Order: sequence, then C-alpha cells, then structure tokens
Amino acid sequence: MIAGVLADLRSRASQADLVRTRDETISVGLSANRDATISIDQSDAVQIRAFANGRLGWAGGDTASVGAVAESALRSAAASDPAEMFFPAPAALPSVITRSPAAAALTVPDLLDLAGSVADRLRRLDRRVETWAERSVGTVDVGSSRGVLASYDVTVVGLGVSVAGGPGPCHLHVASVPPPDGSALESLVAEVEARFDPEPLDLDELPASARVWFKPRAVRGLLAPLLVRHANGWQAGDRGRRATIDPRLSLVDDPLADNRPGSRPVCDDGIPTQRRTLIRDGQPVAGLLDLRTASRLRLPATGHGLRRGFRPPVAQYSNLVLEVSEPGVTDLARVVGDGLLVSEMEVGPAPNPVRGVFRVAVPWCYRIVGGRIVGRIERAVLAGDVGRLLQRVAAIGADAEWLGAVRVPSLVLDGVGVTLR
Amino acid sequence: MRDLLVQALKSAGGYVELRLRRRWSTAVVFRKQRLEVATEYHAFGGVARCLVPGHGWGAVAFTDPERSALAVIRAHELSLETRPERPIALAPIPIRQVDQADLLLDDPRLVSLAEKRELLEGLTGELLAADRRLVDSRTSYGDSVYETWLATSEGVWLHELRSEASLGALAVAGEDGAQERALESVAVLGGWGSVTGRAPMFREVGERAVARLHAAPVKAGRYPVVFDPRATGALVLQTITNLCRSPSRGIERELLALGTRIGPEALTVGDDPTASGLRTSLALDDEGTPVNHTHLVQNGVVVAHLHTRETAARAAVGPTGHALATSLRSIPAARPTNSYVAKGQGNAASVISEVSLGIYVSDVLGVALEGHQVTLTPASTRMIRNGVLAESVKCAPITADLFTLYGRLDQVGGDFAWDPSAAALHDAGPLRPITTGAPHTRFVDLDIGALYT
Repeated sequence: MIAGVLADLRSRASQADLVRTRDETISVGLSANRDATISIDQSDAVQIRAFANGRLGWAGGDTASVGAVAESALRSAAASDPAEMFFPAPAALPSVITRSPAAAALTVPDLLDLAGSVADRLRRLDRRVETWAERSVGTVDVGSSRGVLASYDVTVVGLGVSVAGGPGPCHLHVASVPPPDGSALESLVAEVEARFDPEPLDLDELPASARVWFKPRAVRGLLAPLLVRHANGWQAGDRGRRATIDPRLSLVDDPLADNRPGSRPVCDDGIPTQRRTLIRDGQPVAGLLDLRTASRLRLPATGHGLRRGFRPPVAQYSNLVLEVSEPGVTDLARVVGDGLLVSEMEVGPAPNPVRGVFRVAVPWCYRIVGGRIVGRIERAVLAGDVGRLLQRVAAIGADAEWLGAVRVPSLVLDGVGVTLR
Repeated sequence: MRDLLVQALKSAGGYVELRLRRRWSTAVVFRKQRLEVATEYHAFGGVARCLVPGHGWGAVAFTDPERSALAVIRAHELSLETRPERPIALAPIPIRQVDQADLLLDDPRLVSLAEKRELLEGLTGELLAADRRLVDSRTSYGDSVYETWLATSEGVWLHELRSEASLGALAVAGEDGAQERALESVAVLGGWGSVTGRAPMFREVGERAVARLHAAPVKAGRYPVVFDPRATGALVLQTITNLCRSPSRGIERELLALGTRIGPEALTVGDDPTASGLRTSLALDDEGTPVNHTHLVQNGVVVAHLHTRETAARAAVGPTGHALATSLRSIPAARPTNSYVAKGQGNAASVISEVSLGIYVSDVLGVALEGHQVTLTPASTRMIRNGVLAESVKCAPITADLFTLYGRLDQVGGDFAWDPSAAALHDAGPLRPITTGAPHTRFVDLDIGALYT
C-alpha cells in the first residue's frame, strides 16, 4: 500500500512520506459487582506528507480513504508557505523490544482473569473496586520517496484499578509491552492499600511552607510542566538559563529501553531513534526536534517525530527516565522529619503563562511527624513553582520505578506552599 | 449505505446497534504570523454493539465500512462471553426514522484551504495590531462536516449531515519580564459564513492580554465572587452536570443522589439538547433515543440524571436521550449536550451592585473536580469596588468543597445567554463539544489563596 501511494504522488510531489498505524485493542472492564464489559477497537490510519513546488503539506485519515488523504496533502502543500525539508535516507535501525508474543496472545478470558485477580485482592466491604485490562497489538509502517521503508510491531498491556471510598478518586494503572507479572500485580495492590491504610486526621492548620515527599506518581505529575519549560527554553535558544534543576538529576529520553510503551526503533519521520540526554547534572543540554522543525532550523532531527491522526507532526518524548547520580535514600520519612507525603498529584492549568506555577488540591496526602506517617490529610492544597522546587531537592529516593513510559524516583522537596481547604 | 447497514444488522441475533460516522475536517493554525498548519482530515469510524438476552454488551469499533458485518458478528460473540449478575435491560424508546441529510447550505468543503488560510491570516493581523506589547499569539480556524448513519435491530434509522466551524485566539502580552495571556474562541453550527466578521473578537483578545500585564495579585482572603455567564456555565458543567451523569456499566463514578440539596432555591440546572441553533443540539442520541430537555436540579435539589437506555432501565426511569459517543469509534455513555443554569432575577449590574469589595471572574482556564474538591482557575478577573467593576487583577485558583461552594451561592441573575465558545466536559478520552448557558451568579465568602508567581 505504501509503495503504491508514494508512486502515485511521485509525479506531483518532489518528495513524500507516509506513516501507517494499525492497531487492535481488546478492553475488558469489571464493575464493582463483577459485571464485565468487553470491547474491541480496530483502527487503521495514515498520515501523508507531500513536498511540492517548495512547499510542505500533510493530511491524515483512515487508510480506507488513503486516496483522498493524498489529495489533501497536496492541497495542504499548495496552501502553505515555501519551506525547506530534508527527507532522510534509509538507515539501519537499532534493536529494541516493542512486541511481546505473550501479550499478543492474550484473549478476552485472559484479560478478564487479569482484571479479576486484582479486584479479588482489593475487595473490601467499605470499598467499591473496579478494574480493567487492555491489550493492544499493532504495527507501525513508515515509508518515503527516498526509499525509507521501516516497520515494527507493538504490543501494550494495561491494567488499571479504580477504588471508591477515599477522599478522592484512586485510579492507578500499569502499562508495559509484556503482560504484567506477579510482582507488578502485587505492587499495584500494595500501592492501593498504602493509600487507604492511614486514618484521616482532623487538622485545623498546617505549616504554610513544608518539606514534602513526592512519591514517584507525584513526581511524574511534576515532570509535565518541567518538560514544557525545557522545550520552550530550548526552542527559544535559551540553553543553560532555563529548566536548571538539582545537579544530582539528569533527564533522559530513551526510546531504546526494552518493553516500555514509548519504545520504538524508528520515529514516524523515518529516522532511527536514539537515547538522548535532555538535562545532564541539572543543566539542559539537548532538546527534541522532529523533521519539519529540524529542517526549518537546519539542524539534524533527533528521531522523535510523531505523526498520528489529525495532529500536526511534532517532536514527542518516548520513554522518560529521571536518572540520579548518587545512591538513593531508603528512609525518606526520616529525611522529611516534619512535613507531608504526597502519593499522586497532577499540575493543572496554571494562572501564569510561565508553566509550572501551580496550586492544586491533593486528596492523597499524608502528615509526617518525627519521621513517621501519622495520618491522612484530606483537605490539603499544595502550591509552588515546579522549576524552583526542583532546585530545592532535599533527598532522592532509592525507589525509582517505571510508570508506563516514565521512570522516576521519589523526591523530597523543600519550600512547598501548603494550605488547608 | 442503508442496505449495507441493514444487511450487517441481520448478521447476529439479540439487540444490535450499528453506527457509522464519517468526518471531513479542515484546520488552519498560525503562530504569530507564521503558518503552522493548513490541512484536511478524512476519517471514518464505525461501532457495532450487540446485547444478547441474558448476556452482556459486546462492542467492536472499526475504521473501514466494509467491515460492518464482520464487526456485528464479532460483537455478538463478545456479548456471549459475558453473563452479568443482573440482566441488562434497555428502557423502551419510541422508534424513529430520521433523515436530515439534505445538502448543506453553507458547506465548508466547498471553500478552498487557501481561502480559509487567508481569513485566519487577516484575523491574526488584527490581533497582533492591537498593541506592540503582544509578543506571541496562536490563532486557529477549524471546520468539520459529520455524516452519521445509525441503525438498530429495533428499527431506528438515522441519517444526518451537519457542519460546524470554529475560530480560536490566544494572545500573549509581555513587558518588563512579565507575561500575560488571554483566550477566546467561537464554535458554531454551520459553515464558512458563520465565522466571518469576527475581527473584533481577535482585537479584543489582544487588548485583554495587554490589560492584564500590570494587574496586581488579589490579596489573599475571603471575598464575594461574581462569575460571568461563561464562568458560571463552565463551573456548573464540570461539577453539577458532571455529577448528574448516570455512570455506564463498569464505570464507578459518583452520582449526586436524587433528592440531594446541592444549592439554594434560586439554583436550577438542566440540559437541553433540543435548544435550537446550537451546534450540540440533536434529534436522536447515539443510541437512537429521541432527546429530551431534562431538569437536573430544581430549586437547589437534584431531581433527575442524564441517562442512556441501560442506565434508565436500571433506575426505572425513562431514557433522556443523552447516550453520546465522544469520538467516531467510541461507545455512547450519558453525557450532556447543552448544559445550562436557568435564569434568576435581575441583570448583571444588580448582581454586582451590592458588592462593596469583591472579585469578578470572567471566563475560566479550567475547573477540576477531584472527589468533592472543586478547583476553578480564573482566566480573567477584576476587582469589584463599591458595586462597580474596577481594576484587572490576577487571581489564584479558587478551591472549595462542592457543597460548601454551592451553599454560598447567593444570587442567580436574570441575564441568561448561551455561550458560543468551544467548551467540553473534562473526561477520560476524547472530548465531546458541549454548549453551556447561564446568567451571572454571585457566591459569598469564597476563600482566595495567595498567588504564586
């Protein structure tokens, strides 16, 4: 199919490329009373780029409409401004595991068993537990008029749990290329239990500024604004002045980590992927560039192009790893002494365009006194600036873990604004 | 297409529902005066659902219409793989056959991409010309045409063609190291003609961003807060309307119980898919149920929920016609269409005039609901001094408990208006457009925290 489309475009475009994504996802859900829902989603989509008369256009759609999509790409080029575009030549692809035969073989009953096993472990009289499991099997094909023709198979298995009965929604999930093993299931169950175990506290006040232990899921929440700030600073040529964080921390984008949801040997621009350090020892050292932006800036693309659906081609992180230059601390509660622990946090829309300034309610928050967790705080609101907070790292945990496509440890941060609702 | 659907429906027993939807879209985006996107999109999506008596739902989504019959057969097999504890019933509905696929009067597909680019380029110029302190902008034009076919084994038939168009503007102003932004959007039923003549909107966005540049932060404390109609609509949509959506099987989500007092007598909330002229109004929902105007909260008390056929049967009430899918290939769930707060008494001035010192919130960046915790991030705020609007200020997100918040609702104005901006309900997965409508509202004694800058 790819060769045919590119051949048809050859007479009307000097260069063209195409990415095709095929996927079948089986999803099962188990309600609190074990009623099951089952669905299958099969998709087959393309995005085509055409470079004609010195102008670059692109369009997307389903593969059944590929002819119309190709015409749209040409119209897009005609409506666009003159641009430079350097399509890559074919190159050898690195090796990375993106598919698991065991995952591909999972059936509806297997997924129901997986979801049911977690539900059984967590069910209590005072809780409503809902679980889901999902298996995705797909193929990504990339081709270009310069001769690139690459393909890789992908599987992802996701397992999630939602528990009602606490101060807020408790949604946790794991995702990986192979099915989760027994230890991953036990960790998921233990994490839910740890959230519910401490009794709620009746507090009238908290210190206005506190030392806070952010567990890995909360650290993942802090990464999002850091990445925006890093990307903005990098694109603005602001290297070295923005997104500086604690020198013990480095941030790496690693598409070549085996068995992770963001793993891939080639990006959607047809460029072989590579591990790339974005922040080294706290200092920004590199950014990501997709082919279009790289061509405009006359820089090499980094192999992070993503072209899916109706979204414009962009540079996209693959798997993010927050690396640490020293051994992590195991007893972080003792490091905190008097402060808070936050299990999960998402930084929502910020009132200031300098991203990372936040003020958010954190339902899964705990009080630490004398180095011990003494109870749960249900009305805590945290505030601060992610950029500044990551310069005030009091301790780094030895508990780094993969959360889907992100691997982060716990961080203990100083000077976090705290109020009670 | 009708023959294809009818043949596919015959491939399995039990209840069968087959929805096909085709979408043509255009998008043009400028970052300042640089064209970032000028493109088109062709998508097709189908969903086959089966419910065999005594079993659960089976559903298969696909992107090739030729797979319709295969999808029905597979959905039937999946249905047979589940056997729920309680049998699934579907509330009965009147069987309608609706054909609204006449040629569009204002079809955006007939306008060239170059013309759409030219329109947005001009509007972007208007925005950037508003003030020299505008350092960045992102402007967008979009249009979509949707063609839907829906057929069920009970005899429902829908063939519908509709189009919508939208414009969006984000302005960023900067001076002396400070940066501020302002947003505006319009999304309406119709085509090319419905988004022309919008230059004033783009100029005003630029002016608003500049006006915020030197705004001082609100001093932390407790204030009466007046929300404009758009902010009121967003707040109520993400909180009350959201919590009045009856959850689908397998989705644990809190539902405000019928009879719950959520606010004062002056508060009446509903959802009206029949409102004329709005882009989110409907004839039939995605299960083929004729839509109903539904009062959710009447005089402060929850009186109804939004339902699909299954949730309605479970609750032993009639379906409301709110089974809606968020994307071409997704399964319908109870979702709002045109969420509104009914008007009270008095105009905007009367809501503000009794406030000696307070805050006026116009528009919001976001409303988050975590359990019963509401966090509202204002987009634009001004002080109210001695009953009149005063200087622009910067306001921290407002957090409050849901019941405490609405317990402090003091006045609902009489100046109701539907809001044409592009709104959506925050939910997992793709967002479905929603229209909100509301008057001004006033809340007393809300806690405004310190602003971190």
